[in-house]
Amino acid sequence: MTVLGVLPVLAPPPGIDILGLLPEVILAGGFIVLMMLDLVTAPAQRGWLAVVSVVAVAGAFGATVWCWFDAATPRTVYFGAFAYDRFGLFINAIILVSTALVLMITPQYLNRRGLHYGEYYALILGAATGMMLLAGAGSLMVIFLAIELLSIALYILSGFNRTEPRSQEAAMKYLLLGGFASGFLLFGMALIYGETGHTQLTLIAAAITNGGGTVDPLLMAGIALLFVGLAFKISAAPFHTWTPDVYQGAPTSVTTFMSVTTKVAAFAALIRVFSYTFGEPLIYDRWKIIVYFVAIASMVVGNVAALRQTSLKRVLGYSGIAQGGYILIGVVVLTPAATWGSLYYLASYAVANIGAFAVITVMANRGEDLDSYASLRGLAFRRPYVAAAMGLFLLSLGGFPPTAGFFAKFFVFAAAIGAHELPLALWGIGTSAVSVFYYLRVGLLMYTRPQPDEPSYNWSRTSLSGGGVLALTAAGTLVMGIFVTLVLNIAVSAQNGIVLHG
Amino acid sequence: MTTSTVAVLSGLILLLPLAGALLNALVGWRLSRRVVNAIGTGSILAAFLVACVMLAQVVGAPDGAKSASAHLWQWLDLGTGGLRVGVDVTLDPLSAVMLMVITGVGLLIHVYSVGYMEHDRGIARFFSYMNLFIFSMLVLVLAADLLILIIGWALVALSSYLLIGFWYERPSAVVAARKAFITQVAGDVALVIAAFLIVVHIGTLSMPGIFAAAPSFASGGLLITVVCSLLAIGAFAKSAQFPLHTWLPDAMEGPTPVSALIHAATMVTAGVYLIARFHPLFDRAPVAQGMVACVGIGTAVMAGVIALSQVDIKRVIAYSTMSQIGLMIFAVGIGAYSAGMFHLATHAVFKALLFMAAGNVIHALHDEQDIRLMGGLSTNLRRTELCFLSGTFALAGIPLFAGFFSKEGLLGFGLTNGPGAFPWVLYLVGVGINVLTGLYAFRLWATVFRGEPQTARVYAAREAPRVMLVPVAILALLSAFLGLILGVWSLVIHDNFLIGVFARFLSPVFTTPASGPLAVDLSTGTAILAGIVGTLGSLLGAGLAARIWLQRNPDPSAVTARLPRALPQLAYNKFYFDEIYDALLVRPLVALARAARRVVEPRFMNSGVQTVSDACSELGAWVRDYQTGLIRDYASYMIAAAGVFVVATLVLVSR
Repeated sequence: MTVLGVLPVLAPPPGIDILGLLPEVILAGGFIVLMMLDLVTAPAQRGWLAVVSVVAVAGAFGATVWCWFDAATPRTVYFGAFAYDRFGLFINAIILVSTALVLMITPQYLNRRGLHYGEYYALILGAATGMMLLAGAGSLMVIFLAIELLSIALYILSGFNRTEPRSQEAAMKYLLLGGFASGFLLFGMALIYGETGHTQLTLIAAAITNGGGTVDPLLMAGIALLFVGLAFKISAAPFHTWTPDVYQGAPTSVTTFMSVTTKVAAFAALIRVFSYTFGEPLIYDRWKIIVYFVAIASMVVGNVAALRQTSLKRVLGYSGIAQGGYILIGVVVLTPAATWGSLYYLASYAVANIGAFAVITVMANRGEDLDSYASLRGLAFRRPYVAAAMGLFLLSLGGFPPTAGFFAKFFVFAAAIGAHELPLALWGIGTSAVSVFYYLRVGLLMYTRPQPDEPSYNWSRTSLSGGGVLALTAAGTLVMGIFVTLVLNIAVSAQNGIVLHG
Repeated sequence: MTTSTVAVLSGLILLLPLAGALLNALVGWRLSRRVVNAIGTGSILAAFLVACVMLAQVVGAPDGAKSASAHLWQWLDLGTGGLRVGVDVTLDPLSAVMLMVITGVGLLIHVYSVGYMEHDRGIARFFSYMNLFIFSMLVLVLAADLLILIIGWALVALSSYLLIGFWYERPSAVVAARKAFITQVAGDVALVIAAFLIVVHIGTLSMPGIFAAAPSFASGGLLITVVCSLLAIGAFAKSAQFPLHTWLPDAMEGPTPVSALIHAATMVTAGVYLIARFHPLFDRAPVAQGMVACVGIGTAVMAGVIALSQVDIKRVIAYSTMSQIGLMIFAVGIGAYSAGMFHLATHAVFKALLFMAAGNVIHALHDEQDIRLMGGLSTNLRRTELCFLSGTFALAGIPLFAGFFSKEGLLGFGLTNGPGAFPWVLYLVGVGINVLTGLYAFRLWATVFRGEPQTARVYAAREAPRVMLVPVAILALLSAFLGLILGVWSLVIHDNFLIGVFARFLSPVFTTPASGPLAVDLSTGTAILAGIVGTLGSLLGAGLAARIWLQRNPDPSAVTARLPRALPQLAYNKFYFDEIYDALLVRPLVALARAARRVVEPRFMNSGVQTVSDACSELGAWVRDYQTGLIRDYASYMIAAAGVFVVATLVLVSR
């Protein structure tokens, strides 16, 4: 027996391709290391845990970049359980960058709230691992496990503020409804498995194609239920109800994290399963109507409900629902342009949304989050840079040039029009006109001089890392709007590289 | 001149002013005045040095390779058949000339601003806007894609708006800024429509692509005429030509360095540049060309007459600018592109000089701008007067000053190359403009500097500080000797004395048969005769002015007083254009808006727009009502929706 034989990592058995999961393995390793480090770290030193976790994320990001070049020819690994392709790696990159940005604003926020416990970092890494597994999932079982992994971590994180009833309520709601959604998801998977005899996506696709023109009712019911489960994770209407409550109750740094990464990862699974596994015209015609409806419902409900809110966290929660609706356009429309349009949209949404939530996070003071409209008034006169950055994020979310959000909407709507789905594009354009109202209202508030008799709010000073995150996201928002092809080319290549055959 | 050199140099020249603008905008308020000044002028100095290198690159390039385009990055790419917009730049003799004008004159004006704005609190904001303007202007002249050019075009309008309204506490400045911006937007719209027509017909917005495809337009056809007319309207709005000229005099509300930079040297000449740049299209649209030429010369006459009647020192210069740009527009309208560009360059020098010297006067008199209250300033402002005089000589086209070469060259073309059956008609009008120019140029000098002081304030006037004098002096030397040097150089290389070197430098750009110096030889007897007659016109105007106004108590309205009353009244009120536009456009629009508020809005909008907005709001409240916060409600929505979805798919299956 050679030395290599003892080390299965270096000489794995055939079919096991450790490199295919390198980023996830690194992150999971970081998760374990953090759990152990937490035991020996003094409470005052917990800032170092943030450093360690950022290092782990950076390592995983490096691995992702390396894999990107390695995965020029897409393939499945682990006997078809995972897809090793640029599509998944693109999503990985978004998740990892978002995670790193969130980790950078975290310690300051947790310290102010007296919540600085070490397991926070481990849980974030655990959730991120689950999301990356979801992005690369090549089998229904892996999708389920990945969703559970990320969900359990997020349930705990939502309730991380143990003394705050709102946070407890958020965790409880998320847990119960999430469990409910998992039920739908699993039931749908069972039906699909029962009909096709496979859990592996590529084999399911082949089985459907070989089915020869007939569609079984149970398969369709399974697809519908599977969609319900995933729609819950992207908080699409009418499965969105948990979103505003949880976003508002959870600690803001957690909201920042999950508002972006969960959605990005779940969209990856949605696109992989629906656009590319269930893309067979016969089936597509039947599930299309559901997704079509959900897309429009999300755009309408998200934007309309945001009009009547007075808490910025809830506004951003509803705005996230609406943004999910726009990205769903890219799922309904099956053309490649729609897919890379959605990928571009996900990247631009991640940058702007992290920035917007980061503003609330870094400005929060010891007692409260200061996310009410009243507390935003006149922010620009006391924190000019923060207000300017916030304005940029809102412009991007509203879809104004020259920010990333303009091109994101442009690509998705153009893809819809190109695929002769004009009504969908019109719904999108109409509802984004509505959205301008509440995005600009926030901007207007920030740039309105407060009356002398108004109470003054005690915004915290921005720390170096917090300011860095705002600067990075602001720069990203602008760069993606000016050097469009920089990210666009990567998104196109991610779309081209998606695994289609086992 | 390789592509990568062009890419690096243009990247540098664009980034430097942009970095200066951003730096002053973001952190300027916490920096000391000295650092802000250094950033503001330093970035332009660096850009000027880069521009010199770029000019050297063009000069040093072998014949036939004087033009190079570089692709900086792809901005938009919608796949095959879709629109592709690249951030491309072109360096050729034409853009090199513009670069030198923008950064060279721009640098001197920035230095001058350090002194002029010394006591202004918003200095960081000022320099940030000025740098932004230089950046926008550079984008405009370097762009090799029509969409990028339009972006620069619009950014220029934006920075002009910001600078005219720089003193935003003054209501008049805010109104003037708004007027300028709205007029410019009218031009922008024309330009954008032209771009639409071009992209529909040719399928690209890349300028080399457009010019290569120019033969696909039927010469003199309807489409090319419409496209060129729209481009010309865009140029008219930017260059303050009739009928879109009324914003320029009001724009004098901005600080004087702004007037010198934007409203004399650079921005207002962008229209001339645009037409010269798009000459392959204009050469195929004789009707549009004729229209351009007539509008140009008409504006020149009109503005010259108005200049003669105005009493505000900056407005006189503003109308003279309008008149001179009219001549340039006339030149590019008759295909004399090199001559028009030459006048653009010399005009930038002597007009910036006149504005800055006027700024010295205004500064010395503590913001007094009425020439009736000046006079006799030559004793206290000796150096400023010398510089001003150099500019006046150049403006009036006195032989051997810079303006003489470019203007006589330009008018010479008018005689030999003018549109229509009687080119000499337009030429005679041009000679008339020369007389007018001489009159108003020397009238200004005589009433401001000569004669007896009209107010006590003049005795207390003090010469401007060195930082404001040196830039003016440099420009004064240039306006005295630039033309002469180039003229002697032309003689050395046996070319046309007036515009030889310049035309030869630009000839790689204007190579089409109908354009440029290739078509006409200026050294013929007719041309020499034309030059002599034109010069005599200028001298006549200058002499008349000296006779009328060189006295102890000159009367600024001496000429106009002798004419029938209606005429001076018309001229003094700027031919009532503001009033006409007010009556034709503003009042009807305001009335319409009022009517809309009183009739349309309550009757129709409340049932339309208001309903939509109410409905959205109601719907929002309704959605919020469903947001009960109770888990059992949320779970039942999910079950209901899932049930509907499953049933829907099943029904569809059985279909």
